[in-house]
Amino acid sequence: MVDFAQVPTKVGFFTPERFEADIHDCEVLGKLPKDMNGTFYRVGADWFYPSKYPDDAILNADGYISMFRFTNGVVNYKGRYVKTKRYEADRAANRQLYGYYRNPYTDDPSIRDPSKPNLRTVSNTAPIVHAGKLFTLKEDGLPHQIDPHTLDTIGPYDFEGAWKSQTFTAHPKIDPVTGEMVAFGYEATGLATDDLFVYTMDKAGKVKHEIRIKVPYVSVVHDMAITQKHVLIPFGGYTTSMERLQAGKIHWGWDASKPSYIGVLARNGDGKDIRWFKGPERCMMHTFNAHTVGNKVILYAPFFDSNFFPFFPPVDGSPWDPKKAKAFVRKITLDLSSKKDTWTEEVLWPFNVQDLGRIDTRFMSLEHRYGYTGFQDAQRPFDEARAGNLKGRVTNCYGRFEFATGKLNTYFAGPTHSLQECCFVPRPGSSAEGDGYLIGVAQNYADMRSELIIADAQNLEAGDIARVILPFRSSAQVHGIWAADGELA
Amino acid sequence: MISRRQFLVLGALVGVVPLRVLSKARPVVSFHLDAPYLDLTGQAMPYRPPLGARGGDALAGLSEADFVSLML
Repeated sequence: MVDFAQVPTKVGFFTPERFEADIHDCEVLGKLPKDMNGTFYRVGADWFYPSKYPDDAILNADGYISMFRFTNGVVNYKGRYVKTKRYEADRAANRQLYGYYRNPYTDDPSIRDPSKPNLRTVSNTAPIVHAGKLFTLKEDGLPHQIDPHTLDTIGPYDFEGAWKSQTFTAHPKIDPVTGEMVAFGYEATGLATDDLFVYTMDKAGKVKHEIRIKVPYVSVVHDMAITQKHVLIPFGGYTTSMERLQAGKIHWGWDASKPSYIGVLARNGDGKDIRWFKGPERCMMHTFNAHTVGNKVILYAPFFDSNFFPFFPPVDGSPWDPKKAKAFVRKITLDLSSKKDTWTEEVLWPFNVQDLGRIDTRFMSLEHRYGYTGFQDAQRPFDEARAGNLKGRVTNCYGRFEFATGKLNTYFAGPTHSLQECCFVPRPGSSAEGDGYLIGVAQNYADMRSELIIADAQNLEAGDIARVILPFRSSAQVHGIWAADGELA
Repeated sequence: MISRRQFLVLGALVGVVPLRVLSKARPVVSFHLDAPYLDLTGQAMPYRPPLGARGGDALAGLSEADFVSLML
């Protein structure tokens, strides 16, 4: 019998979805743009069975992929669990067999295998489309190939045996100039190992280059950035060890005494040229973009001051501090001509933001003007009677952040809504940066439903052009991507 | 009559929450980055869903007898 009452955070609006869905011709408020043809793929986490431990991370929930497909003014919706080995094992046993996030030592003995931790992946973090194929990703396992039309799971993918890391990042980068995909895997040779492998796949999806490096200490390496010349590997703060895992703890703890690092290496080198720049306490999860100018590498990223995950507690036993769990839009300059091993950092806006930064991906690895992300504007109204006591605690706005000028344009979602990660959709036929739509799913707490928002990215203050209404609340997305018609096989 | 919510809390205290945590504070469901989380220190601002069945709060406040009578 399934009983989510043992997981106190899975109540009301946040009860897991636990079903797969098909909706033909979704309800739409407003008018859909006629030139918007393609698919918005979203990947998130949804517990099919309750977690074994009430304080486990939501990051450990089953992967769920959904899509809004736009075709000539009609939107169809589809949602499916990612059918991982783990999902299938749980379904066969009719219960949760797997323990804490990335700790196989806490698994049921019937499936426990610490030598193959990547077989525990739930593939719940991000979708990516490359070389005509759709994948779901999570940094503790291999990509899972997904049928882009049915969302059926085809299975794990190792690039025809050429991908040697046990893991694959949730944030590979696609170079719009060459069509190459650059990706990495950390803990590449097993639990708590310090190996990190970087790969380049050509535009046909074939592995063309491999670099193997060691990291200064084993930590979460969640995202990366590329320029036309360099690969950037940022991380900091989180630590783990075999002793920690064998003691039955969740994979990561936060060690505020650890420095943050950004590794910079040549894209086509052998890794021996890597320079590790060192910085203060930082939680480095997501990046906007980076570019190289002469001997300088410029990185824009919404990094946190400190640990932002309450379920990865400090290793010194102190309580998690929500006041330091704030992300700011930062410009980081790494000077390759300097002998110093530090960087310079500038906070571009004085308020904290959602760290799920996005750009117009046609400018990935190139100098760019805009970044997009959500933030909380506490001055906006929030209807606590209808939506709970969340005033000042939800992401209620999307912003277009113009890095060079400090200009900010804002979209407000409404007084009972919180916003998930946004995504930029280029306007067909346009090549100008920022000409397109900003889309993202809002959770409407009052009406117990989710709504896909579509706004003009160049006129956010005007509000949304249209909203696609789901007649239920979808489980929270982690990341999403837009795939225009023609990108998929 | 014990309410459903009280029953769940007691159950959690007996069987799920580690003793070392109980000795310090009672966990509380709070809210961070658009999602609820379990604050083991008990110091965070609690999350209170909206009133009404859609928030789940009304059912949680019912006694077992009330709940069963509604279902019949």
